[in-house]
Amino acid sequence: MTRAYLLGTVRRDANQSALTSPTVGIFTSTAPVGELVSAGQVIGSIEVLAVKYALRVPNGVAGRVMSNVGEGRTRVPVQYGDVLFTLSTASEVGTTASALSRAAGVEAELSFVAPMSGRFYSRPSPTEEAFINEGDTVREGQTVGLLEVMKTFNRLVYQGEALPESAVVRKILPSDGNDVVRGDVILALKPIGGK
Amino acid sequence: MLRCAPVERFRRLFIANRGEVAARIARTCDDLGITPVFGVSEADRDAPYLGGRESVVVGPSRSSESYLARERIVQGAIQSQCSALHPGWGFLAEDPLFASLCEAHGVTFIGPPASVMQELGRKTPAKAAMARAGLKLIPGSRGVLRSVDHAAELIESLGLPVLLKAESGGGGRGMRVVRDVAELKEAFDSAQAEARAAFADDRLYLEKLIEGGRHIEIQLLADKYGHVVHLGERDCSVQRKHQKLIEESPALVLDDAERAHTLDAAVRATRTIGYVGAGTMEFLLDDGGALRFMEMNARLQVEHPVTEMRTGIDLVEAQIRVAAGEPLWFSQDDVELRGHAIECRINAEDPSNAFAPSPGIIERWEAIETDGIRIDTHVEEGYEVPPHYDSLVCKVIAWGQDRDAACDRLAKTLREIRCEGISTTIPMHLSVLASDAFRDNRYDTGAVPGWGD
Repeated sequence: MTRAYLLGTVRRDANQSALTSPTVGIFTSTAPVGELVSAGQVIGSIEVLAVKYALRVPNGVAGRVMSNVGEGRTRVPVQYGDVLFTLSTASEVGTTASALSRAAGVEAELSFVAPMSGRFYSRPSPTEEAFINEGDTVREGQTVGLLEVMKTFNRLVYQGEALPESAVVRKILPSDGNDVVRGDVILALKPIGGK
Repeated sequence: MLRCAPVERFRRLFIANRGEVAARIARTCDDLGITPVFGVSEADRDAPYLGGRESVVVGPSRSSESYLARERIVQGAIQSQCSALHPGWGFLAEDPLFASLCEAHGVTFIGPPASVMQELGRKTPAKAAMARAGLKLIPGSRGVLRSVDHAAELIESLGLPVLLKAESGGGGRGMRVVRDVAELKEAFDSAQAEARAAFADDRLYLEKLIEGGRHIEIQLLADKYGHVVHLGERDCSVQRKHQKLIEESPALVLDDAERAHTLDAAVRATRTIGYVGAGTMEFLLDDGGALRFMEMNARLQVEHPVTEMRTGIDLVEAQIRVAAGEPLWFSQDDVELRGHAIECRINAEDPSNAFAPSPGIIERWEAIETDGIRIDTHVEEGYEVPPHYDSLVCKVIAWGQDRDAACDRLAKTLREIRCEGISTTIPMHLSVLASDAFRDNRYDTGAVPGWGD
């Protein structure tokens, strides 16, 4: 694929951008929800009269794919200007959304708490698998859930100074869609690596 | 007039155009039970003329990436399951490459075959075909010029001034007026260079320059089975900088014998070249009263309602039916040319300020169709005339028993139109309609009668 189009960008707010279709055509995505994408990267293709064009992320844009019209579907007919991807441009790496505390009241050596108040989601979308399950081992950089704060989805990433490289999830406290407040324990953990 | 059954072949038709002509095509689709799908640019995505109907946004406001983007438009038509496409006028309406791209992807292009369009785009073979069918030409070179010396020889016999024109030209590019033999060499070289750059073909031909004169054109209709009819002529001599402002039918300045002869020859020529659909032959009426062929436009014309008002035939319907493979449902004898019809084009321009473009929001709009009046428009109150496209806002067409009756009716309607927020050319039209020069038919294409500009 030598021919390429840049995706259009619409900045929605400080934390979210939409990537729009540069033409009418048949769209296929190669960047699933959850993927971290950045400028210049090819994240899909669009066919115009059977000629395939690569779709690139425009300059100055990076973030996690929060939604994708091509998710679970290939060859989706789209129009010029249609939103193909929404990106979470803030908190996408998650350091600000991760925290550790040895909260009392929960039988755990470690706990992962909510960095902000918001609504917790254990899955990227209602039809998909949970990010993690009890008994899983989480590693640094791994996404453990989403936190919706003021209509913006923030990725909760297992990452931070005080965290061991990996840990076993003993319990996930909030259910999918529950509201949590800052400092609420989300995960009860047992550390297996040292730092 | 007799009509056939509804068009079976097309259930969904893609409108590859915008504004007034898009609204016009959609109206006939509605009449025929065909679902129109508008191919629009970003600027037109919420335009009121879409009336909440289906549309596909094919690209951004800039025409080169939307209304002129062949691949995007055909993709839009396929994606919206349309089996036919109407190109309207302007944009890609006379682009043979676009017509063949449609056909290659199984979308019926509503217009003549790409090959015929290609032939008409090459000027001297087209002219030769017209001459063989009995049409008179503007005196000039037979075929393309071999050299500057060849041009100089022709000037000796034709006299000055002459016009050098590009064989594959259009839109005034590759064209030069020569009024003095001393200018010939330079004009020839620069026309050649311009033609090479614009059309990748530097061949030129030469014509005697006829200044002024009247612009008369003939409306033709042909089906795929060799049936050709004419729907009379139109006089489009009220022009400003080669842009038509007022069109009417019949052309009263035309001698009856000359009219009859040319209509016949035009029908013959149309059949000879294998033309299909609606087409218009443009002629120059010279001082001696002779109609001389200029070119054939392979599309629907802006001024087609003039002909519809006189004949009662819906030209867009005829285009669609012919493209669907139906034979013409009437013969020449069935065509009745009644009374007089006249149209004026109302543009968003300020006639008191050198016709400066006047885009903007139409704050108030009131234009009412009454007896003998037809109003073709895509605008309404609150509509924003976008700055990206042409300035046509509305066409008002009046019909009357005779020319004066039609003109009076037109003027009355124009006076009653309420349009605020943008400037329009209505004051100019009223001045023309009230002028003796226009009413007595004493004018030519060189100047607008009744309007000192």
